[in-house]
Amino acid sequence: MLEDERGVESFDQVYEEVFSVLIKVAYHITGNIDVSEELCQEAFIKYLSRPIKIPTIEQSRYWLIRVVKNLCFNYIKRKGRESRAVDKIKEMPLPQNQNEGERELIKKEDIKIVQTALMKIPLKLRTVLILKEYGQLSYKEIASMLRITEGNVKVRIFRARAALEEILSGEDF
Amino acid sequence: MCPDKELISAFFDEETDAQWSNKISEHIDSCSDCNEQYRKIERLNKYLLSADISEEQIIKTRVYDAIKRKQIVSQENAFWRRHIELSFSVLASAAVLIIALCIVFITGYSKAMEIVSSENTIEEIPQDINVQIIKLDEAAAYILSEDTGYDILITIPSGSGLNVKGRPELIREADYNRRQ
Repeated sequence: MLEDERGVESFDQVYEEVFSVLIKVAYHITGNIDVSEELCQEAFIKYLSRPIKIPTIEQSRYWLIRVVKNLCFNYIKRKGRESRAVDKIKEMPLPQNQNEGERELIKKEDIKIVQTALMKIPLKLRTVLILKEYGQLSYKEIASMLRITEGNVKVRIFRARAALEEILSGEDF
Repeated sequence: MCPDKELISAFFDEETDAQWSNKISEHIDSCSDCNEQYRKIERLNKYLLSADISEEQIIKTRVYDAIKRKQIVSQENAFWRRHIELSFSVLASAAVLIIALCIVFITGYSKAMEIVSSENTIEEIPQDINVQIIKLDEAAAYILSEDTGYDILITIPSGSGLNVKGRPELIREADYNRRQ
């Protein structure tokens, strides 16, 4: 068990609570699972090396999501892959999951369909929706995290949902 | 009048004011269009959350182990940078102890050196011994008879040629036959 002398909550508790959220946020923003793994690791190491403790799990969760979001943005910026990847994905057809003989594969395929659809909407809209749906953050938290107004968060979430519905309208979801 | 679609989206996220929430909720129950809009958002939400990363557990364990390893390394490094506060009396006694140990070590070392130097005079290491041997068999016999751990260097006298033993004409004949 990892010792965390500084925090009120132990690191293990925070890890247990937040990891799943963090990897999903990272994966859906970057679209790359290996990169997400690295970024999550980096975020938790940053968390552990903080000189000032974070008293609650909730605050740790917010802090970690914010850090991983920034790491994802940095990654996208650094690699300059965003535009190229989106261009590629836009040309790709959505993976099909209607094959009756592959029931076991359906769940694994689902995430690809969701991810392909998510990658088709602009990063600005995608991030807000991901922070809402996977990060389960409030509009206020998202607004302060992205330094935009709550009204803007509301608009972006609505637009992201509309765009995603449009993309998935042909799919059986 | 139907509320804005944006408001339904915010209502789904429970981000509308309490006074509005009740009205929107009532309206959604009565209006089929808005109800459909709400269901769409609900369906999308469920759909997004149903998608699991299949190898999440493996990644979780792997990342945890990696963090653990890095933390152990950083803790080891941190030891040298750690500030330790000690009182003056503890420091003084530690200093006295170190000086005492140094004295004991130096005197002990010089005594040990005396013993070693006296022991060194007991045996003289022999210098080169030159023995002239003509045959290889004799050389082997000599090495075996001298039961020592010394290095033995065998040199062939300079100027003396090595003669081929045997019958050269037979060798030449064999070579001639092979070529043919």
